[in-house]
Amino acid sequence: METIEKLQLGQSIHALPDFNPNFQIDNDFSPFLLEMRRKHWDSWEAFLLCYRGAELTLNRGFEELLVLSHMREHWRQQGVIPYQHQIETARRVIARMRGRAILADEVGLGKTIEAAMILKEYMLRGLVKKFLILTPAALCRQWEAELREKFEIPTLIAKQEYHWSHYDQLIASIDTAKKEAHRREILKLYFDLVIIDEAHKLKSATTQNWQFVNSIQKKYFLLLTATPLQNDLKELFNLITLLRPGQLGSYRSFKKKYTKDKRTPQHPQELKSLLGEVMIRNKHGANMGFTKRHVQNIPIMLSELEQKLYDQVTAFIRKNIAKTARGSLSLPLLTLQREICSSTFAAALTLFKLAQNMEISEDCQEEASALFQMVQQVKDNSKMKIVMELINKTSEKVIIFTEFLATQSYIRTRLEQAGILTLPFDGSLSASKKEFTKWQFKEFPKYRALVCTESGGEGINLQFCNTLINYDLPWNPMRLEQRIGRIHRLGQTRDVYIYNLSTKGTVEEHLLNLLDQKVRMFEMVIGESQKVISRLSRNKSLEARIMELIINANSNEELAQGFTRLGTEIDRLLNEPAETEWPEIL
Amino acid sequence: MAEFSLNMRSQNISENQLIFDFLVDALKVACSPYNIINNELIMAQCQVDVPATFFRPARMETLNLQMVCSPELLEKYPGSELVTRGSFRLQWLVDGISKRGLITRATFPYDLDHRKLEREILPFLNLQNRFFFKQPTLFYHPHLLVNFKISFETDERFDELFSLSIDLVQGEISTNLTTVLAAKKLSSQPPKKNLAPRQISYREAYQALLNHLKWQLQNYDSKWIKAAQTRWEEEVSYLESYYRDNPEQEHDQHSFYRRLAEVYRKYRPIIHIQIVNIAILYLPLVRYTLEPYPGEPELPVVIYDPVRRKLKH
Repeated sequence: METIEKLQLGQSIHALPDFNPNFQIDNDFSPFLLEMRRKHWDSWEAFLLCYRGAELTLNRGFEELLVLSHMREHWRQQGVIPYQHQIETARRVIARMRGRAILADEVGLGKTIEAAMILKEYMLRGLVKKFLILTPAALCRQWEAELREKFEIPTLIAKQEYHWSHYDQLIASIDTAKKEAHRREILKLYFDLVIIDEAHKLKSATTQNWQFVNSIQKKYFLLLTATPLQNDLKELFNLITLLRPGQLGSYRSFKKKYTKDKRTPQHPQELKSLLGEVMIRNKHGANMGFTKRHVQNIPIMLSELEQKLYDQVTAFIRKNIAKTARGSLSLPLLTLQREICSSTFAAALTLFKLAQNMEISEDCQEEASALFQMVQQVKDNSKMKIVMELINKTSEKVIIFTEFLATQSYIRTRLEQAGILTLPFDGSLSASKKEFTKWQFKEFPKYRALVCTESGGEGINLQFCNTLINYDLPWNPMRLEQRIGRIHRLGQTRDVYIYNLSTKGTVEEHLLNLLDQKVRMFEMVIGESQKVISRLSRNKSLEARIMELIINANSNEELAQGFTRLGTEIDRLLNEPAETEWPEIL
Repeated sequence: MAEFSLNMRSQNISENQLIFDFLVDALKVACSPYNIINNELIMAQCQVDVPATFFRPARMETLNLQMVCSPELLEKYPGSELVTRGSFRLQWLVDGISKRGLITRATFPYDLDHRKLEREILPFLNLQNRFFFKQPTLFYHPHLLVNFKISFETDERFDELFSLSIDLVQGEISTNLTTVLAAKKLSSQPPKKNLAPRQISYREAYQALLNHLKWQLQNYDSKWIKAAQTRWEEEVSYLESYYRDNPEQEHDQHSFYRRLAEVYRKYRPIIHIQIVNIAILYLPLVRYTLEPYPGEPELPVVIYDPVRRKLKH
C-alpha cells in the first residue's frame, strides 16, 4: 500500500467532496398537510406565538454560553455553583479549541463539571446528540449521577452490545468498551462527542486502550486528566496526538525540537504556547473558592498492654526483617508494622497467618503465635475512645478513614455498640452499592459516620460532609491527599475539619511529624502538595524511603534519627532551585 | 439577506420586555391562570404532564411559577425565577406550546369602501384627476405561508427564520408576510364569497417554496462556510504533517483517510431546514379598470393589494 509519505501537501483536500453546503430537511410537510385535511386549525394568535417562541430560542453564536442561563434555576435549587475558571474553560474549549481539548486542571477543580458544561452547551445548540463517556469502571455511576443531577442529562451505562447503537447518551468503562464484541459495534458508529476520564491511562500509543480510542470516529473530543505528564514527555506527545495529530509535529521533530532528555523539555515557552492551543490547566490559587482547612493532630497514649504489644511486635519485625533481608517475608512484616500502627485487630490476622506459615522458621512461628495470643488479650484500642469523643462532640456527620478492613470492622462494631449508626465504604462494594451507600449516608440523619478504606473512597465526592478523622495514616502522602480531597474540594461550602490520630512512641508519630512539619501536607490546598511530593519522589517514593528507614533501624532511637535525616533532606529539596520541570510547560 | 424579526418589531423594546410579553401570551394561549404584579412579576399556575415512572403512573400536576425577566428583579421578588434568552423556563414554555399554532387558517377582512380605495390608489397611479373608476371587484386569493427555521451547521451552528408565502392562484412567491400581518386583525373564517379557486395544490406550492428557499440559501452570505473551510484546511495541514513525517510508524493510507474523513465530517457545511408552522391565508385583491378620457387608449387593469398597500399590474 502506498504510504502517506508520498502525499503532497494540499493534495488530500481534493480527495474529499467540495465544501458546498448540503441541505437536510428535518421535518416533512406531510404531517402538516394531514392536519390541514383534518381541519385542526389553530388560532392566528397561537400561530404568531409559535413563531415568536421559535425566534426567542434561536441559536445566535458562541459569544454567550447557553448552559449558564439554561441551568441557572436548576443549579440554584441543587446548590451547584459554577466557578469562573470552569465557565472560562468551557468558553475557550467551545469557541477557540473547536471542541477538542485536554482538560488538565489540578485535582479538585472540577474537570467533570467543565466537561459536562461543554457537553450540555453542545446539546443545547443541537451539535451533540450521540455521545460516549469512557471512564474507569468505578467512576461510571458517579458520572451518571453528576450528569443527571447537575445537568439533567440522562445517560445509560452501556454493558450490552446492542446499547451502543440503540442509545445515544452513553457512559461505559473503558475496559468494557474495548472488549472485542463491544469494540466492533463502537467502531461502526460516529459519536458527536467522546469524553475520556482519567486520560493519563492513554499515555502510551502502543497500548490497546490508545489504539481503541484513536479508532473511535468522533467530532468533538475531550480528554480529562490531572496528570498529563508523569514520567516522560512522550506521554504528553501521545495524548496530544490522540487529540490532534500534527499539533506537535511528528514525534521525531518533537523530540528534536522540544526535549533535552525524556524528562526535561527545551524551548519550554514555545512548547507551552503550542500546548495552550489544545490544553487547559487551571491551577489552585488563592481565589479559587476553597474553604479553610482546620487540622488537629491528636497524640494518643497507648495503654500499657497496647504499648507492650507494639514494642514486641516492632522488635519481632526488626529481628526478622534483618534476617530475611528483602526475602518473601519482608512484605508481610512491613504490612504488620503498618497494621500494628492502625489497630491491634488489623495486626491479628497477619500474626495468625505468620504463625501458620510453614515456610518460615519454627522460632519465628512460635514468636508470631505468642504475639497472636497477646493480641487477643487487647479488647479495646485507645484511639477508639478519642473517636467516640470526637463524634459525640460534633453534630456533623463524620468520615473515618482507615487503611485496613479489620480496623474498619472494629471501628464500626464499637460505634454501633455505643449506639452510633455507621455505614461501611470499601473496595468490596459494587459501584451501585457504593452509590447507594453514599446516598444513604447523605440522606438519612441517623447515620452519623461513614467508615471508609482508601480503596473504597477513591474518586467519590463527599462535599456534604466537613469532618474527617484519619484513624491511621497512609505512608504514601498522595493517598492522604486523596482522603482529604473527598471533602475538601470545590463545592464545599463550609470549613473542613481534619483530625489526625497518632499514637505516641510509634512510627505513626514520626510520620505525622514529617507530613505535618516538613511536607506541610495539611496547610496546603489540594494539588499544591502534589508539586512538593513530585519533587521528593523524583528518585524514590516517600513510601519506599519510610520502608527503608524501618528496615534499617535497629532501635527506636535509630528510627527517630532516620526520620530526622529524612526531614532535613526534604527541607533541602524544597529550598533548592528547580531546573525546568513540568509545571513550567503545563 | 435582511430577514425580519417579529419580536424585534420595534427596536426600542428590550429583549426582557419581549420575553415578558411572550410569557404572558403563552400563558393566555395555554389557558393557564396568571397574575401580573407591577408589570414585573408573573405568577402563574401551569398544569404539567408528569410521565409514568416505575413507581407512579402518569399524572397531571400543578406547577406554581413565579417569573421575572430581568436579573435586578430577583432581589425584589425573592424566590422568583429569572426567565431570559436560553433559560430552561423559556425553552420549557416554547416546548409546551410547540404543538399549538402549527397550522392556522385566517382571512384578512377587507371592506370595499370606494372613496377610501381611491385615496389609497391614486398616489400610485401618477394620473391626475381620475375619478371615473369602473366598479372595482374584490376577490380573495388563498396563500400558503410557511415559516422555516434554518440552521447553518459546521462545527458551529446558528439559526435564522425564513418566512415564505405563495399565492395559490398565481404562483407568486413573497417574503415577510408574517411580519406584514403580525399587527393586523385577522379572521379565522375563510371568506364567504369572492374566493378565487386554488390553482396549485398544497404539495406543489410547498415544493415551490422549498425550491425558492434553497435558491435563496445558495445566495446567502457564505462567510460561515469560508470560515469553516479555513479551519478544515488547517486541520488537514496538521494531519498531513503528522502522517508525512512519521514513516517509521507505517501509517497506511486507510488510517490517514479515516482521520481526514472524520475531520471533514466535523467541518462540512450543512443547512438544516425545518418547518416551524404553516398558515393558509386568504388575502384580498381589488381589481380596477380605469376609465380613459375620450380619445385615449384603454388603460391597463390595475390590481391593488390592500395588505401590502401596493399595486400589481
